[in-house]
Amino acid sequence: MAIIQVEHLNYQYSNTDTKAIDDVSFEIQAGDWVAIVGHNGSGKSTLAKLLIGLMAADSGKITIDGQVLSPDTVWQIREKVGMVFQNPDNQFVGATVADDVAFGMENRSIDRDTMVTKVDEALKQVDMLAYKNREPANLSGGQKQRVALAGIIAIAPKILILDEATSMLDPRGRQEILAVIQQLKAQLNLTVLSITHDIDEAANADRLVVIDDGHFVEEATPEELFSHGKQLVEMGLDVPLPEKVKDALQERHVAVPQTYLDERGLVDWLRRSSLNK
Amino acid sequence: MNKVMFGRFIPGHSWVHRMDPRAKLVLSFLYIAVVFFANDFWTYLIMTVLLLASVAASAIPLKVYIRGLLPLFWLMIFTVLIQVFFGAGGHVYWQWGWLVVSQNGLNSAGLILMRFVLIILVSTILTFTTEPLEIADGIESLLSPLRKVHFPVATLALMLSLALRFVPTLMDEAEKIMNAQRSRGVDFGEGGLRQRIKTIVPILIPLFVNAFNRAIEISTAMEARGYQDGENRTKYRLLKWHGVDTVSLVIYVISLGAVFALRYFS
Repeated sequence: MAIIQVEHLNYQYSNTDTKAIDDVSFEIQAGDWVAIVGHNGSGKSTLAKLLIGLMAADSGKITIDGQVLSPDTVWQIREKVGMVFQNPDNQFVGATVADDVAFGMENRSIDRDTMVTKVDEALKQVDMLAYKNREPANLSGGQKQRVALAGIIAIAPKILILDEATSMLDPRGRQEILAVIQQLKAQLNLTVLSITHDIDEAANADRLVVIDDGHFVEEATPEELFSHGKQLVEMGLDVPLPEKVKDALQERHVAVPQTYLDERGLVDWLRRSSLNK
Repeated sequence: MNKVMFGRFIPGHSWVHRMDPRAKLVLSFLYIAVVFFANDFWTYLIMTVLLLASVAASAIPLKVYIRGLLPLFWLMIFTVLIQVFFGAGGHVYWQWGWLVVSQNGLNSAGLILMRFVLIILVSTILTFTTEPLEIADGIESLLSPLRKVHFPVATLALMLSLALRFVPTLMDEAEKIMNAQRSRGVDFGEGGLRQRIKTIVPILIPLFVNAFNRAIEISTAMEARGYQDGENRTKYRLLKWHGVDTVSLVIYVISLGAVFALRYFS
């Protein structure tokens, strides 16, 4: 069943001539991890904001978990969707870690006893319980993003949207966050929509949706898309390392497999092949 | 930045640290109000003893409090001088043109200095022993009766705690901008007042622009997390009134009551 359905969506910022989102349609199945890729200014983040009604589309229809997004349903839909933003600092509202996790629950008027247990549970799930009473100034970017995730899972949404959530983190923080998300997705049966131009994050996805200049370009599995090689750069993604190696070998007239290889696959293939011309 | 002691929180587990912020706020305001009723040796003695007892109960050395007074040293000198020279009446000790040092002048100068020190010290006890956020919570709780007249108490409290939350973030940012300007050859300590003000403008402008962008992003994030309006929310933070609060309240009421009694019934 499609949990997110987008039909003929259009949006234009008032101070520009071109549409930020131009007749975009796609569907996301419940339980999938879908990455939306495209370069800066392609309309990815605009799309994310439209999905939970932070901005109103000019035309088109968005259906989330069977509910059509409208001014009447927007708060009900936000109950079902949690969103992690790019800047770790600018979404940390609470004065301490525990306060921040509780923020979303306070907004939903959940009683205090429930909050107290849920804050601890959520922090445990993202492995941040030891930092419960810390202030954000003493946390790394990756830790703040994990707190943001805890705040989201505390309200038990069905859908998690990551709006470039790892782009301001160092490689280690990024790996940690992605690992936590994978684990949460499995535990809580979440549907994940990640907006990214990080290849590792995209590689985690079941399917990729490519958008460019507000247009829907194509939808594919990571394997299909990554085998495009250099075209990936044009789509706004960094080329993964195995593809870079394959390209470099091909330039030196080495016969390489045409299918996508992940890093382990590349190592296996390199060990088996003798790199003969 | 670390030199400023006034208004800083010093973590601890003392009697005063454990008190409810509401109790501390109420007692501080009560104390400040009563200071203005003290007018002779005995009443000031009670006020001073009560203050020193509170300082002792905060388990922070007196010299830390004194250091907190230092930035206000010139203000105190100035106030005292004004009082000395402009308080007329009584025996005249010294006169030069329109400058007169009289008995009344000296008396009121002493009084003002005493009040000044007592008020600053009692508010310093509050800020040393209470986290800014607790103060914000305390204010919210104390203002909550105003809800009846549709005063947005919870919204005000959220604004206050958000502002406090972003103080370190903005200070970091100011530091970054200053370093960026330094790397371009700006020297912040140099030159006269005009020159210094000129070097501050290029810090303030990016800082303000960033603060506005931040505010927009924060409000988006808050909305995405289901924030609709400040008033219909539950609170995660809970203020608890303990025995220490009642005991402190009783001590303060008795002492301050004694000041009143001495002033009006003796």
